[in-house]
Amino acid sequence: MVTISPENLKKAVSYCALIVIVFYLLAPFYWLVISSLKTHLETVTVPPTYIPVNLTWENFEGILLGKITGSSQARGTYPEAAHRFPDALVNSTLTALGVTAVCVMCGILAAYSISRIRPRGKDLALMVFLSARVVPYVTLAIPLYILVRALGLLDNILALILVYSAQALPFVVWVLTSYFETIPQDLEDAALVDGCTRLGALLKVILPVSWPATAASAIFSFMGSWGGFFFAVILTSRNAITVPPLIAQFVSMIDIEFGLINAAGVIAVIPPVILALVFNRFIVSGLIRGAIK
Amino acid sequence: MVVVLERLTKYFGKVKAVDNVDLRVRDKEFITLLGPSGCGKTTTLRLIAGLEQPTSGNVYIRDRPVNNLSPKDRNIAMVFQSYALYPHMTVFDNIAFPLKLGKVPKEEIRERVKETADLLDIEELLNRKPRELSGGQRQRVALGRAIIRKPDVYLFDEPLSNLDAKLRIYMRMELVRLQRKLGTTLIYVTHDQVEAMTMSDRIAIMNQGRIVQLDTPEETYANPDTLWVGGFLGSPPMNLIDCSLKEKDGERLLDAGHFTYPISGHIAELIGKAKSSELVLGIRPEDISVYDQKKINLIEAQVYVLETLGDSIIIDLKVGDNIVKAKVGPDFMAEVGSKVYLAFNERRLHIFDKKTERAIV
Repeated sequence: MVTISPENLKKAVSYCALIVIVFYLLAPFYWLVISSLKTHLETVTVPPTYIPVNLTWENFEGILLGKITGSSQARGTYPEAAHRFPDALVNSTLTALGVTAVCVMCGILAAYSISRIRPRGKDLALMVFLSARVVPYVTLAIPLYILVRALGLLDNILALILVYSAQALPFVVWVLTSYFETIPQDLEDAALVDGCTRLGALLKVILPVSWPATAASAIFSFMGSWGGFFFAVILTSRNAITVPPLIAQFVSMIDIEFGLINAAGVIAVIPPVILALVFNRFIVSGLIRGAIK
Repeated sequence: MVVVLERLTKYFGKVKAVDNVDLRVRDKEFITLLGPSGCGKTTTLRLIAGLEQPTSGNVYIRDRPVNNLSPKDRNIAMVFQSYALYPHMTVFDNIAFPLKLGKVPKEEIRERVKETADLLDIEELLNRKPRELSGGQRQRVALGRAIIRKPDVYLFDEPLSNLDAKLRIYMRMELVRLQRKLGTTLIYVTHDQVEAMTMSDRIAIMNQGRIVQLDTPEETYANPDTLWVGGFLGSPPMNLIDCSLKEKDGERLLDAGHFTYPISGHIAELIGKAKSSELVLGIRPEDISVYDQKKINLIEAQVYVLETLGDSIIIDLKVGDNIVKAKVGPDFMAEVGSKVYLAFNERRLHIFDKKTERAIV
């Protein structure tokens, strides 16, 4: 009779559980990718095929090049919005980069001020920052719409940059403040004595030393705004529309363009996946370093 | 004078960290600010550096008022307790950093860094990062970053406290040698009495934000101005015994309850002039002689604890209700509980007024 040691049994159970979890997480992504490479007919066929029988690039050609081919042409269901996918991609990129730049710059200055200059009321300021995240976004929809309209920024990516920055900034300030507080004051004092101004000490010493937290904040800001849907739907229409609300327009009264939706999803997922794969260790270290002294 | 502090005061909220400090530091002098934790020595140093702003008072460096000048404009260099090396820069870049900020040409930077590295014997470390260095090496890099600038005054904030005992002894002498060789003015902060005594031209002893005595190490040790200084300086500390002046059979005595000690007419006169009735007798452990046989005028005591240090023995002696420490040679023989007899070196006896705490003798 084969006996299994308790340790090996534990390992086997752990691996099984991991396989289940990984499958649960990756299965939708796998389905997304293979569906983007299927024809419309194969996508809606029952029973579904788990490996595409007829691989096709027509969905990617449809959204990136505006080529109406294959099944969309035959059915006459190619959505007009699909022509604007490249523009939406540009809008998403500019919005995400804009939000990242605003959050990182303002976050660094705010966090430095709170952790180093320690103005009066800094604890209250931090609490106010964090409490802003407690407010449900839905409640802000109408007031923000009115505000953005009053500023003349409806259907302008600047509005999205401002709104998403306001969303992400409290978290960025909190992460950076916690991290800056772990950096010894002596380092900065040494820089001031050696010849730096305060800003110089921040740029030449504090920032290079705190790049894991800065990277984590930048990635968090980028990813949060890249996938933003709710405010993009409310505040944009044609010119400043980003990828998530645009994909929603692939669902029409006539048909659901699964192929185009899946292809758009695959393209939309690429930047966050690359960022996560390349920078994942910085995300973790940047977020937890401030928590551990 | 290189550095002058004039009625310098610093409050942190309601806490008075530095209290009306006056200090004049001479050119090429090695002066130490010595005191227990929280006495205000580091704050005073930071006020000189410009890293803190005084609540009131003035700081002058080379006759220039510097209160409104930022640290970078005061021409000072500082070595921190933690060394504060920039972790993202190599040793070369750390040492060169002040020169790069001063827009010194690259060639000159290279030359001066090499010269400094040679002086400190760290040439082979120039391409390493701080995390790859030992404590002693980091300390020398921190020194290099300070001395490359040729400032008016060096400020050292407990730079040896993170080193092991052996390295600390070596670096003490290295620092003194370096200071003499460079001919620089140095203000040194420490809580370590041995560092202060062995390295300084003068010691400023601080307590509760004030300078309580400013003198050479020898003079401070031999003639403490106050009860507190007498009890602070010395290891083991000075024995302090409450007493009062009495007269018996025409002889003047110090009466400590369990024993009396005869004093000369001159000392009695000084005590009389001070008009003190409550006194404190101070005698250092090394100024007590211990005998195993009773003789005239010796004080009876009982051996309580023996601490063998190798080169000497510290004896805790019970004299009535008091515990008195004496320091004797390594050959001293006695058992715990045995009776011994003490004599005080009268030339090194100290008498303090208990109320004012000031030294009378």
